[in-house]
Amino acid sequence: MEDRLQIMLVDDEEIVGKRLKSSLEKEGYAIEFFLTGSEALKRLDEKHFDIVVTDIRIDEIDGLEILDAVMENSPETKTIMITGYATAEIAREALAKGAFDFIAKPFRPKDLREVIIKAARQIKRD
Amino acid sequence: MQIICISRGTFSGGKKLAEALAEKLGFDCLAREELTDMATASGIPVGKLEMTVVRRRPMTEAMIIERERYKAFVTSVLCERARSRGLVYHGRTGHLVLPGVTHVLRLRAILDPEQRVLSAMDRLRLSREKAQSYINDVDEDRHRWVRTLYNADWKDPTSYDLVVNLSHMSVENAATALVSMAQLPEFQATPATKQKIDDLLLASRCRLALGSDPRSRDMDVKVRSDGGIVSVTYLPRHEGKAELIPEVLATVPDVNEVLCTMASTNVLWIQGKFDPQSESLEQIVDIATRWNAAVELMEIKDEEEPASPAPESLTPEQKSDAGFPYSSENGGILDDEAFDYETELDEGLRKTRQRLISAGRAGGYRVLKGCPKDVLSSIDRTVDYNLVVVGDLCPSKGSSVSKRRTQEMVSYLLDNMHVPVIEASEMKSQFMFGPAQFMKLLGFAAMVVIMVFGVMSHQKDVLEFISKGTCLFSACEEVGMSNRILSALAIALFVPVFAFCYGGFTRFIFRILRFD
Repeated sequence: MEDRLQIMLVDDEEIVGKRLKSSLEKEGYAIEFFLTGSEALKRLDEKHFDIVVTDIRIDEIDGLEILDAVMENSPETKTIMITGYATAEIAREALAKGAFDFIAKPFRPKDLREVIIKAARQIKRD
Repeated sequence: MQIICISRGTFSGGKKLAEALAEKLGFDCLAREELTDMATASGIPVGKLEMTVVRRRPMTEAMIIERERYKAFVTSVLCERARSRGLVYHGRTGHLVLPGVTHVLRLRAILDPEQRVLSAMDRLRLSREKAQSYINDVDEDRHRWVRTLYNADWKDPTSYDLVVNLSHMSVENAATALVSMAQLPEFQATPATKQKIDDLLLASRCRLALGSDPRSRDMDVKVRSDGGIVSVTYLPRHEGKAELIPEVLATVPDVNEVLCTMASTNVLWIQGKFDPQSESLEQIVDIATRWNAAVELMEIKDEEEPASPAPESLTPEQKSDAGFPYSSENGGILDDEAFDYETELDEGLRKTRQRLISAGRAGGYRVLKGCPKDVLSSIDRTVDYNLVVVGDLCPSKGSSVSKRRTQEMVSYLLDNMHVPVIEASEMKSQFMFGPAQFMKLLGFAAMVVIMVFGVMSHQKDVLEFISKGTCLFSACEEVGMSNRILSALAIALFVPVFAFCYGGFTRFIFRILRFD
């Protein structure tokens, strides 16, 4: 089994995937990027991910639905929500539903890496 | 042109009430969520602002500027919509967005907590405990948001014309009742309120124009409008960019004239190492608040310490990266190398700045090292400082060296700057009012009373003594002193003593009244 941290990245903007994927891969994480929620859910059925990083506003199936699916099928997976349209209500809803953390865009890859490190530590503790 | 603002908590029925009321009145209905989406799409990082509040983080200077842009955006959208037809807005701060527009009907919708919890459980599919926690957290976030944006208490009923409890009344019936209220003459637009809306709209458009232009984006300005005459107040540290203001505002329609004014008072605080817990900081904030002044910080490093980068030393590219450039080109993912100069400052200076920012008194900062001459040359002499405060310099070199350096700096700046320069330790005695000052006040008051009483109760004798030269004391006659000389001497001594006591007494009275 691969010992690299398996991370799923979901965002409907190609540029987000491109920028975050390269930044996170440099840190040694295994990244899979998806542009739609339906593709992401399909892949979640096939493979276990340690961490899911998902935008909230994506077409068809949104980030909160992905969070619901992760919490239902793989509660040990840490879900990090990212969005440019953050509100207190959405952030609180995501956290109440079990999201690990919430990051508002714009942010630096470094900010996400710090949250991923925290999530990885918690995965080890669990 | 009618405006109805409904403030609502999460799951409190305010949204449904707003929609029902708008439908009955034939008005537009606008939700806060639509407004924030529009603001985000226009480049204002509302999500960042929200998360700052949710995470209980202090506002940085960049965030303060974004906050002002957001407030201007909200004002401009509400005014624009309200100018064309009636509007029902529902959100958190609608009742505070249009100050001075007296015909706005300000409502607050509330609902029984149990019903709110049940709604949250149902809609968000949460357990009772989590739903309760969600509602408490969001209410607290909204409370903090209103405090952060408008320094107001969201739950204060005096901010509203009516608080509607939807626990025992259907939304439809509440909306029907409110239609009647909305037709009252107090809530109809008048020429004066229409003019006020035009003024608010123009001021907010000008603020947005300044915030959108990369050249003036980082300027902390206050904009007002009065019948097409736009007044922009900027901080002294932005004086170099002041000439840009009329240029940027020339593109805004309906601007007849632009008046640019630099904030009139400024306090310069020079210190070796800033301590956010220090008494001096609270004293400076108190003084700056009383004077409506901005406080500029200057940290003087020891010769061997490396100086942190100051904003003046950054390249324009670095400065622009310190903001929040969200664009379709980066998808909201910034470069790791984006230089956030605020986090590079040492903790004491950063926290001191944050305290000043939260008090609305931040006036810039710089970090340098050198002798008093270097400090003087780095001070912008065109800035109209009202006070220079010098705290302990070179604190790492012991108290005697620190005291000597501080006194040298005070003395040098006093000789070369035509403004009051004091040591930080003197602020209390010079500007504050504590137990020691109270005792002095009592002393001066007692002296004044005794002197006034003495003179008033011996008016005849005093007048004779002054006018006729009558000697009050037989001893004087024995030594042969001239009565005339004696009376002149007595007056020469009495008047300054009385003036000193009376001056001291009034000085402390004014200080109590916070009238410096």
